[in-house]
Amino acid sequence: MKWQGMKRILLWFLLFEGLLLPCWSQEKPTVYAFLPSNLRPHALQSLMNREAPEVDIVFFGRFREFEVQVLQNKPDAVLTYPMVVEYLSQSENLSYKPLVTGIRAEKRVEPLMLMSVDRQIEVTSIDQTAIGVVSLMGRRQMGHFLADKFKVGKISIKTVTKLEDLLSLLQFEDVDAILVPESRLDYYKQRSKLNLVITPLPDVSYRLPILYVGPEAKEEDQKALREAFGKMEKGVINLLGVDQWQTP
Amino acid sequence: MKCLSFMHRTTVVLLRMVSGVGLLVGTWLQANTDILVLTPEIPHFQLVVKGLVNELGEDCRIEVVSFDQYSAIERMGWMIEVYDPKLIVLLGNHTLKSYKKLLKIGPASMQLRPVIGLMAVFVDREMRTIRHGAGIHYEIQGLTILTNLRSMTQLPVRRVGVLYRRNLRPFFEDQQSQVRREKIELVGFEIPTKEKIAPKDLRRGLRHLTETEAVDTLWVLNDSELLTPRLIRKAWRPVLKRFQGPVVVGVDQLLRDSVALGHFAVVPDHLELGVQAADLVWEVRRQQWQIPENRFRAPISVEKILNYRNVGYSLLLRNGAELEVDYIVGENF
Repeated sequence: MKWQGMKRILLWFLLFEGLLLPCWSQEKPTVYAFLPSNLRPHALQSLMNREAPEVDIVFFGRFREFEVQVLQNKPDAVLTYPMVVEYLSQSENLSYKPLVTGIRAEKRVEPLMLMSVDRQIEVTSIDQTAIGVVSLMGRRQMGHFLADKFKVGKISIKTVTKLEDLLSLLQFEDVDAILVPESRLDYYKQRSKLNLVITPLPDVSYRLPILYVGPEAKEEDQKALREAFGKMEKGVINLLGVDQWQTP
Repeated sequence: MKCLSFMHRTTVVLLRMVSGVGLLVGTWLQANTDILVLTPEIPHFQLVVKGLVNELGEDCRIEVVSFDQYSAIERMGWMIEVYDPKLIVLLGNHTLKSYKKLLKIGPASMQLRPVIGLMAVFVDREMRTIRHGAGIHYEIQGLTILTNLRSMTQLPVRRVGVLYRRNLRPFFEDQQSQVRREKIELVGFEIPTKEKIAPKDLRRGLRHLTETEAVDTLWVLNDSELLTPRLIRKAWRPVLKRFQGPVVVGVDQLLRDSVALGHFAVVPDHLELGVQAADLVWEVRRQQWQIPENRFRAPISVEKILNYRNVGYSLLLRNGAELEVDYIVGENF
């Protein structure tokens, strides 16, 4: 009788150790996301975690917070713009590789445009123009990045964190123009009754967001991430500024 | 005796070393401080400083020193002398007032140092006498408040009623001309400045705006004289009960269920205010530490708070508007 009882306990123990414990201790892959938008990070985060419950996504609204947390916690994956990862790779020696790429209108890049009030901007004198931009990296790095894009030595920029703040810069005449992706033009036109004028920039574009995985990401985590991003609803994907996710 | 003399000598040597190190540190600080920040240690103020330091820390040498209503002006003078910064950032009305007093008693050369004022009520008025002063208003401008409200609701935001006291007329007129650019009309009602405002004066003003002028929206200014518990109870609430448009306020306390004065609040984003101040510092630095022509700026970034539980009608929020809000009163989403 005693032996029977011991056997039962042992059996339960083996069942717990062998089957249940691994399930409980299996952690979801963690994704740190930095994609400035008109939506608040906490709102995007709860939306995305409902959409992809098999991964744990944390959204950051500011580059500095994202940078510090990525360096401290080394998440399994990061979801952001290539220029951000390239900067982190150079300055902090991180090596992340693309897992899923964002596509919009069948392209991996999106044109950028200048939006101003009442008059177009003379692109030839861009170095004399004060431009408002959403900060995707630090102020200095953004300055270098844009000077490089516009092929000028120096550029005068004002950085903001939220998309809506770019419009305030225009409203208060703090800048001559704001730099916006083509897909966001309507967002500003709907918000404002100012006479907003577009200056196309044929050679200036940026690469759409990519989901990157760290060098130590396990194969099963990569699989879980690919699946979670693959089955996202179109409406939710659009909120992240892309039409679909594609495996490179 | 021998022991005492040895101790005496050791103490003298130690003191000399300490004063030498002090001198060296003083000289090092003098040579190395770009920006001296004087601020009270209050959470909102600390957020502004955090934003400023995060943004400029890599490029400028910044010293942050606590200064509040209990600090002596001499302490401020001593700090400025020790650090000898290229630029001073002053946070709060009290700090600005103390600096102005210091300017009166200090050497004339002090007037030449650039100063940036933040977190002060009507910072432009407060800094009028500081020749090399610039700042960012603490008051969120009507243009920002009403553009944000209009993007949230499908209700019309075209004619907006504002109640103000006579001493705030210049502010009201400024706001009126600003919002015109966004095709919004501000309709004002001036409350005569008295020692104590009677609820009936306020009720008359509110009825004039909501019934005679038939405004579609009300913007409640942050004027503590018009927002006493008595006036809220006896004037604001009875009239607003019948008003069917959005009511926008500038402090979140007015949205709380216990006060329930407004539906939507637009308040400063303090961390971003620090980032904007960093932009201004950057501009001053780029111009060889000279204050730019456009001295006083509007705050750019705000937090949006919503409470539609107290509304007896639909605010007709646009699709997805809740996702753009920072907080919903009574909810933590």
